Amino acid sequence: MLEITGEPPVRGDHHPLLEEISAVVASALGLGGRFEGMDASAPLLGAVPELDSIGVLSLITSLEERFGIHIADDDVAAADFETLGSLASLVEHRLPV
Amino acid sequence: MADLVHELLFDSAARNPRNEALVFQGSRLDYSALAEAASAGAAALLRLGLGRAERVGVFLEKRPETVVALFAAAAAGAVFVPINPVLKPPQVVHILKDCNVRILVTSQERLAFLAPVLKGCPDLRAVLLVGRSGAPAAPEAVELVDWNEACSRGRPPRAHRAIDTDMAAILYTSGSTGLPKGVVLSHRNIAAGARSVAGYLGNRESDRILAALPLSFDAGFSQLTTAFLVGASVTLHNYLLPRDLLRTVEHERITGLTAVPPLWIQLSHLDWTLGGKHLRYIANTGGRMPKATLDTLHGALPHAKIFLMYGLTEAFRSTYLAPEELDRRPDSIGKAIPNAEVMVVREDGSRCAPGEPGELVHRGALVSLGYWNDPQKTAERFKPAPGQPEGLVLPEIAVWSGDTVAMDEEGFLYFIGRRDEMIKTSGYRVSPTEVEEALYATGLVAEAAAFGLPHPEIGQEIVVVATARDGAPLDAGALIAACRPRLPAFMLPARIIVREGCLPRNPNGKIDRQSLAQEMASELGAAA
Repeated sequence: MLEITGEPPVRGDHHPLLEEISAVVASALGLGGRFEGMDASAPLLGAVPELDSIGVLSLITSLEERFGIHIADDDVAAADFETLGSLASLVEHRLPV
Repeated sequence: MADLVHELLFDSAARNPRNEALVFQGSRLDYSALAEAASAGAAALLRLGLGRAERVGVFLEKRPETVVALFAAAAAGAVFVPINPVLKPPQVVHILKDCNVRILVTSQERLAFLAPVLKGCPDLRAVLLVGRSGAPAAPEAVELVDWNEACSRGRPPRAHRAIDTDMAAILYTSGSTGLPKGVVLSHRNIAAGARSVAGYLGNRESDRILAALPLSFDAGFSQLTTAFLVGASVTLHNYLLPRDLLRTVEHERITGLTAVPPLWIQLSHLDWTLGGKHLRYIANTGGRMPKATLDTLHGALPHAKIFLMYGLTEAFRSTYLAPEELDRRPDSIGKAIPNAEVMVVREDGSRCAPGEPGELVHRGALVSLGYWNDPQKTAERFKPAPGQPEGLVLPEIAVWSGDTVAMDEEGFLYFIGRRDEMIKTSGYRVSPTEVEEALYATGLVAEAAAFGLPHPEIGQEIVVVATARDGAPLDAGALIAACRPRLPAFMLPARIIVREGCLPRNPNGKIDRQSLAQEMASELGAAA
């Protein structure tokens, strides 16, 4: 049997930024209505075909513009794009306090 | 010696069952476990009624199940069709329909993405879902099955018998006109290709190879077969950001890395003191690597051999430049790979003199079985090999590449250009008509022409000249936005130039892309 170890999806934790972030994701990647009503556990990387090496750049730019933050190249990893929740954490950690 | 694709895996599993075969996000599978999973997958496919040579589509990002499903289909005596995970529903559906895919292996999220258009695939019988389960919607006639469940039940039925000239895979590649074409590969094409490429790369059991390219590319799939042949380890990597790749290279002590020019350009900007000391070789394919990039990589990785490769899916892999020739002729695509012959010929089939440009023609065990269900395009690209001895009655079929090259006195080849108008961007071949069709589909343009213009980093960038409909204003930004849901990112135009009036026509009344491309090249070049 094939066993894949991985992080269990985070369920049910409601993140205040979630809605805004999912709107930015949908518009930056051109997802239309496909991404409405997603929760923090919604997988992004691998599951959203639009999120490729070119899409990720436009997503980063859009997040920077929308939230007035700076996401440095060496400060971001694929793991940050694992789920909507992990992306929300990425943004949250860069918001001015 | 492995004759069949799945034997590459099974033979190594028999010899070295405990060797590490696959690494994905830190989880590891040895050869024994991977071979067992592929056998269980084959049994699952057969229990779903998969017939001999029927097609199994795999639409997934890189993950262990992707590899398992591809080799399972081969082991079942069927044909696998790896579908590039960045494609949009219309392209995926085209592929599913074009080669009558019976069983699709995908994930719940991707099925949701495809669901609205899947009813256009009458041949599809079952969808196998990997990963987390849910209740996705599928057309009524399609059976939905959980991959793990399907793999774990019942006795394995007998696989269909296959020999090495049987078809093993269909790889979809863009043509110059219209939708992607399916290149049919035999078991022999893939097994002989693996031996040839692994041979000149010197792949060995101790190698740790990174699979960074899509498995739907011949060169990407080749990471699996050239590693499995020798019992080496493959790390699956879904490329997103250059630094992640460097981290993975370091963490997994990667010894072999193959990439395309745009990726190498990004990677060459990284600080390679942070990783890469285990790299035994790096290889480039899918276009010419810029000299500056080559020099940077050479300097950053002095211990790594650099292989420059050239290939076209129709002949799987064609030429490579040996690392020891790199300093002398960095602009060469080298010579034919082992057990293949590459010729440069004139239109009448006679051989070109040294230095004389001609068409690259490839003959040998890697010549594929043609384009699926497309006799016309197959006849254009697959023709009798030139220079066959007269007494030989049956013609041998060779691939006439459509690429113009020249050969020097010593037999080294130099790429000159493509005869057709394919746009080569970011390592992809993009068909101008496919881009234009998407532009037209927005309903915003009257006329549109797409073409490639040279770009220092991505090979070519996609440039579009378009006119507005009925005098209504046309905004380039709005047009791009309307293209986004229709085209994967690599096919999106980099520039859109809005024009008034009509676009220039050629004598046949078709929009003249070539003259537009020349005009724009000089205009944009003058502006830069």
